[in-house]
Amino acid sequence: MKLFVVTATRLRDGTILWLGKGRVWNERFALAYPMPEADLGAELAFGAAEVAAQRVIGVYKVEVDDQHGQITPATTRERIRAVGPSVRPDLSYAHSVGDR
Amino acid sequence: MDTATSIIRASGSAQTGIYHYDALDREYLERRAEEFREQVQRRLAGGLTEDEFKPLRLMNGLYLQLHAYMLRVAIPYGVFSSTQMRKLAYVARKYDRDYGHFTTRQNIQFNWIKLEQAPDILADLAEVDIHAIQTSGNCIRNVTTDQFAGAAADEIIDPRVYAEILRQWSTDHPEFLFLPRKFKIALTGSAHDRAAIKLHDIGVLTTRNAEGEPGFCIYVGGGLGRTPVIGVKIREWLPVSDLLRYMEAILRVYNAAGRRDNIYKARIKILVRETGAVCFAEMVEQEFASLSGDRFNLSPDVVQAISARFGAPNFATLAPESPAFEKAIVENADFARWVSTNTHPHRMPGYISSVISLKPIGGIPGDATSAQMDIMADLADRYSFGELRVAHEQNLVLAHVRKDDMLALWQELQAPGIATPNIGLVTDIIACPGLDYCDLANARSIPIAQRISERFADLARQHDIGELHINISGCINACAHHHVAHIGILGVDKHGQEAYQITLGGAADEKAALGQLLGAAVPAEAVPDLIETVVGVYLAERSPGELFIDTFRRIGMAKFKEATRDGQR
Repeated sequence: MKLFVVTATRLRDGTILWLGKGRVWNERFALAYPMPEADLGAELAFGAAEVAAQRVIGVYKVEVDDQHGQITPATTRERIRAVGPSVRPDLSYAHSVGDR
Repeated sequence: MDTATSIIRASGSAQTGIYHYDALDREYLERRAEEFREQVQRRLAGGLTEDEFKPLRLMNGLYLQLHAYMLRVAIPYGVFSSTQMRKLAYVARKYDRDYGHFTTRQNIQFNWIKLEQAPDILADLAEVDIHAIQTSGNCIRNVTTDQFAGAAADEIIDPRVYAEILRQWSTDHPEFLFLPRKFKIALTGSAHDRAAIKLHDIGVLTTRNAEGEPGFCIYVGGGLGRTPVIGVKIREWLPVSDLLRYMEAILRVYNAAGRRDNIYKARIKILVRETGAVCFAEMVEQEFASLSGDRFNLSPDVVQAISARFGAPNFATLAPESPAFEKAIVENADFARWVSTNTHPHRMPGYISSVISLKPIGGIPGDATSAQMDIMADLADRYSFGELRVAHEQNLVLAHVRKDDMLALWQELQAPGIATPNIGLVTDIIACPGLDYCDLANARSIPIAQRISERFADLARQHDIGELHINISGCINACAHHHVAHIGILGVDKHGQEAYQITLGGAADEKAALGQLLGAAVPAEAVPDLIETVVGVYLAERSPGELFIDTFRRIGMAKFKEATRDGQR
């Protein structure tokens, strides 16, 4: 079964956010809450409300791979969003991936 | 106001070579910065939706990219002062992550901008007469030109003056702020095209007519992206005084007839193709004839007034040759190697233009730290009348260096890592930010550039290979101009994986040509080997003294395809 998380960008500073348990936005990808696509409706609706409230922009779902409870984005693009530019490890937010 | 700003304000026109703003110009920039501050405040307060705000932020150079907001700051025609460079370093330190990225459109981009701080940045930039106006949006963008403008020995006219005239004409032009699509103009002041003019919506090449009078040869409809096209000539020779009138005519025809129903068919290249170059030229000539010559006339007085605002460097009277320079070349092989690639002949005796490479081996093409920016500003003050240039190849230029000073300059470039002797060589790679930063990209560009750079790190080998341009774009938008590289590399998405298509035989100069596809796309790890094989074919086939592009033109694609077939399976 494919799993997804919800992501967005914080309006005021452009920081990438991941929707966690209890519908709390997190800067750490590791705190994103994965769920089946069929269950995403309420999360995406929450995201739309957050857009309307001018707190975030660009809400969408991201497919993730789940390896023994540790999730990583399924695409290169989203892995780079989760970890930072691959060419600047000094600017990495790799700590955002890992144990939850 | 920081120290650097105080210096320029106090010293007035201490720095030559850049166009000096007057009170009216400064008031305009300050007003624009304040206007944007109000727009951002309204956005953050919920008074504007993202759909409403997006065109406003784009007109001020603010994009939303993969990791954050990105601010593209204009460096008009690539010419800026040491004071402005220090301000860019200040912005990198205070608002970004201590670096900036110089682009193929002679701009600089900051990758980690906070929306709430963007108005402060624009206000800070306005203090030193720089801005981000019209660096995005469907308007006339930063006019680009030859990085050796005003210095090159082969120059017919100084293109900075005409680029500045075009900047003033196009800024807030009431008819041309909402064109069908973005619009890029490039011009070069000599018959040798160093500004890739045939790849622009309008390309202006300086030339002389049969009577020896300087004028402009006009090309239109060039462009890259998903439909690469080499521009076509529509005017063999245009008097200098008619430049604005002719530009106005082209833009009016495009604005009226360009498509607005399909973003992929909205550029002028599509209009020229669908109309036919001859018919398009006739439409332009008709419009041109209908415009008032008086209103658009660039009289010698007007040109002189603009020219005077640049200020001329106070060149010393020097002998053409410098014994100290020649001696250093003979005695120091490393210096000689750097001089052989990183310089360009100057029009003034005893002077030379020096290119600072932003392509260290394994580095990120076009990136500079704030510390490097400050050092380059200091070097510009001491060696080049306080003036710098950005080349569209993503390097920087000190345009007016005394040959006597070249050894000292080269020595000072070593410590900050900006003395790589590779201009025009295989490691002088043009690369867009790619998927590491860009929201539009399909694949990464920078790591590919780094691996190729590392593969060809050996300087003796690079110099043996000679001039060879590699450009890498992370998507079909072609920000790195891969179509016109000797070896072009395009990142694509192949079933969810990054893959790279290779083209050969492109050129961006007066013999502009689009590269031809070598074969199927290959994975990232295969690219360096493939480039190695291509270079190997060239080395095996070249005649004495023959450059890569000339060998390609002589032998064609077949041998390259044959040699690389295995690597592409």
